Amino acid sequence: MGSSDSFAGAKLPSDKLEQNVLYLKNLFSNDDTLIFRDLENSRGKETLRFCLVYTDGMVNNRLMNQDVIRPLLEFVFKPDEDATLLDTIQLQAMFSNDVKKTDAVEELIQGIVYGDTILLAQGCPQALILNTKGFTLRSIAEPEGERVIRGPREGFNESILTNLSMVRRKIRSQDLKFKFLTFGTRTKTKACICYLDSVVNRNVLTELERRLEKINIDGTLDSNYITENIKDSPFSAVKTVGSTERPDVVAAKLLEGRVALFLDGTPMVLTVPHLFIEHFQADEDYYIHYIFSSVDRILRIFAFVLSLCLPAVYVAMVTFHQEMLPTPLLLSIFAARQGVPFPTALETVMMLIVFEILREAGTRMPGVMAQTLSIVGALVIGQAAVEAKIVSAPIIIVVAMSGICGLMIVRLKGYIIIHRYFLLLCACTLGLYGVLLGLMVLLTGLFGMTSFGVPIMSDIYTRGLQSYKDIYVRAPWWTMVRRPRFLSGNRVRQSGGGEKPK
Amino acid sequence: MKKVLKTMIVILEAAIILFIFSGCWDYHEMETYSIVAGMAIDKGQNGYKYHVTFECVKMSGSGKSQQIEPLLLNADGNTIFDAVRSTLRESDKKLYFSHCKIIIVGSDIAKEGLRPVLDWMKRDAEPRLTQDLLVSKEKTAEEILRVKPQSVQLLSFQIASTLEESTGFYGSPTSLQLYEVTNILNSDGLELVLPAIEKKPAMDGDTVQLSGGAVFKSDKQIGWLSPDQDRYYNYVRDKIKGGLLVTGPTPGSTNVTLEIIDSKTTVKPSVSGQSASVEINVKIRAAYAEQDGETDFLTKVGLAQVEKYAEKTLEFEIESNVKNVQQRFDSDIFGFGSKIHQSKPKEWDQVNKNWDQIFKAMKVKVNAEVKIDNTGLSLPKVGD
Repeated sequence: MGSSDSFAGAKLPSDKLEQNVLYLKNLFSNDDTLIFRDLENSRGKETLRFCLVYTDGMVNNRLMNQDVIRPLLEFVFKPDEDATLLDTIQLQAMFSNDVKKTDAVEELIQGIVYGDTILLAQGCPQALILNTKGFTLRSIAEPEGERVIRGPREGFNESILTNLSMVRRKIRSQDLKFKFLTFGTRTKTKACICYLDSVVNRNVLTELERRLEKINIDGTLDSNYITENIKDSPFSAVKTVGSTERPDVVAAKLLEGRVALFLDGTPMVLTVPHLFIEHFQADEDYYIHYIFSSVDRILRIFAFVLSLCLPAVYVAMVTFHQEMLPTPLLLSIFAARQGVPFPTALETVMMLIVFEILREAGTRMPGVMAQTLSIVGALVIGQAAVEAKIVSAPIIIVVAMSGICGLMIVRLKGYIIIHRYFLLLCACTLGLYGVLLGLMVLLTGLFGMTSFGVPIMSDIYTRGLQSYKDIYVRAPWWTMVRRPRFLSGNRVRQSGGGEKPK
Repeated sequence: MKKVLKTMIVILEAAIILFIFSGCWDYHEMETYSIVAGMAIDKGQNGYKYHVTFECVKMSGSGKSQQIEPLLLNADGNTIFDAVRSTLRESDKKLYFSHCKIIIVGSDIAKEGLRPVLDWMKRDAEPRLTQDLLVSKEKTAEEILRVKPQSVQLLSFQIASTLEESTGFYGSPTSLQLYEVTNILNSDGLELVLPAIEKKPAMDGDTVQLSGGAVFKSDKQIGWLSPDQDRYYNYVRDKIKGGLLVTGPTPGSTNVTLEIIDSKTTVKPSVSGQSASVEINVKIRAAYAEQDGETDFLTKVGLAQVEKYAEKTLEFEIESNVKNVQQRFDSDIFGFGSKIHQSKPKEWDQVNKNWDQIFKAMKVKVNAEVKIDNTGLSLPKVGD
């Protein structure tokens, strides 16, 4: 992991305050945010001189004044043969919960840039690192991307410690382990592996640690930097590392035996292994009645298939297998096709691209322009294009249907968009036969994929009723007595459970 | 390197499979076709064997006021397929047969034989085996197709659904699709009866109506059945799915109408030497649907008696109809022969040769069993 280059092993140069201050000033030359605050205390027999070093804007000023500067100025020093000045201050003077004595330059730098304050004292070759962090953070809010109607509404923010505390509050057990790591040779981003010790799949854990060790990157600004470095099937559009902004989701996945990876500076927490069915498991499924959530889940799977195949099947039916359409439908498509200049296949590709353009524009543009976009999208492109006979009306319906179905499973967006075109190509060359072959290719690919040693389709093809309890439907909670296969070494989830409530 | 090679081989294999097993290799846009809804086959003129008329789909108007209209194409040819392709001298679009619903055969052609006409439809990939076959009672079949459609945009669709409805709720004629026709033509001891169609003069131009059946011997037409005859023929063939039975105290009286809910006919032939006889058992469940106002049969004579009337009517009508057919045609349209063939193959071998004569002399006994399930929304006496 990216431990730094030139400062490894470097020590503070001297026990002279001026020299040490000068040394730090040189290190941070051209950095005007650094503040050196000199202090003198003459209450004791001799005048003590200190210097506080911190970054402006990253410390809590009130706390600095009250709990750091005041005790330093009011402290009456009684020299002690056994202890140094800093030891005495650490033990007797400082009103700070986290104080650390060190002479390693590396640690001092890390402290300064992360909101800590360095206390240098005359006559000491070491320094104290005081926890005075006080930078502003985004408050805890409901994540925009994963809204629920019923269920917890808190979401992670950008501070790793806040995030860890949120999970810790959900699983109050000594079994919950946190292991800190650092990523990025320059950004030195903090990360944390989190798992339940008695539930976790050891193979997954060691595999994750092995892959994380190999990462060599200068900066990690979001967890996707990590994802791409540790992902199975790195060229595939299928996600094999999960991510979420919700502490309840992370807690649920930890309980199933998964491992979570927190990264400082991003609310997106990674979970591994990530199975294919997780794309269809919304967190709200577990918070509402199981029948509704089962219906919703089946609907989601259906929408996925529809979104993937609909344009391809339409093109195949209309250009290869006209005999398979019911006659009235054939006639209405026939009527709509009259006078349209482009072949059906090209029409479909064009409209799919238009849909993607609208979707991307909608994501990137400022909210105030939403109305313009919807008017232009719906009226100009939809209605006018049909009336001007540039595209036929059924294509608009097919593309819109396919697009909206795709929005139902946002987490599979990338996979759907790419493979929709692939299937469309198959349909244009070989008709329904090609669609079927294309689907076989896709399925073979999915069934061959693993996530940290666990096949991503494992739950879908393993036999046994227990495996199906959280796949196509969501069984009631009292029936889920075991954890999903492969995810955990300890599969019993609720011992003595499985009884119908009376 | 080895892994790359292996991947390449797998991709190549997949590609080869993709191309070798590809069934349909014809991307074609719908609008480059002329969709055929129905066709009429007549005897050709000017030395050609066939004159074929196609009813195709044409779009008229534009935008929201777009409408489907019939487009009639016709062509002469020495074979059916020849005529089909000859339309390309006139039309810029190839004909497309997958949605063709009906084939109307002119009586002239029917008398000469159906087999040569049907071969292309069965052999070619496009036309469906579920097309309905009809015989035109008019001079030509083309005349029928030239009639203006009434309820839907295309006459062929109108005829096809009329046939479907009459099969389900009228009992005459019942539809016969191409594959059934082929089966009958290829079976022993069963002859063909196709639905017949004719023009019907109406106030504003002609319309078409179904009109009984056309009787065939082998693949050649030899006569007609009236709608009533055709209905009782359908009882024997066990093809009644619905319809009415008008009955009364004496055969021919029309006091009570029963609506048939369910009908089942079993035919039991027996052979002795060179003569044969047949027992036809008809079982019907019906609803008491209508009575003429003069007498309330339910109060006066009771439901059981009405059932008896109906049984008698059925027995009488079916028997006389079979006899009529025996006299007029030497064609076993009822399939008595095929029943013998199926149940007593050895006896069939003996009678097979002289079957036409044996059929004409066959003794027929009809047993009917009618069960009236309900009397509609009126109870006895009410409304009397």
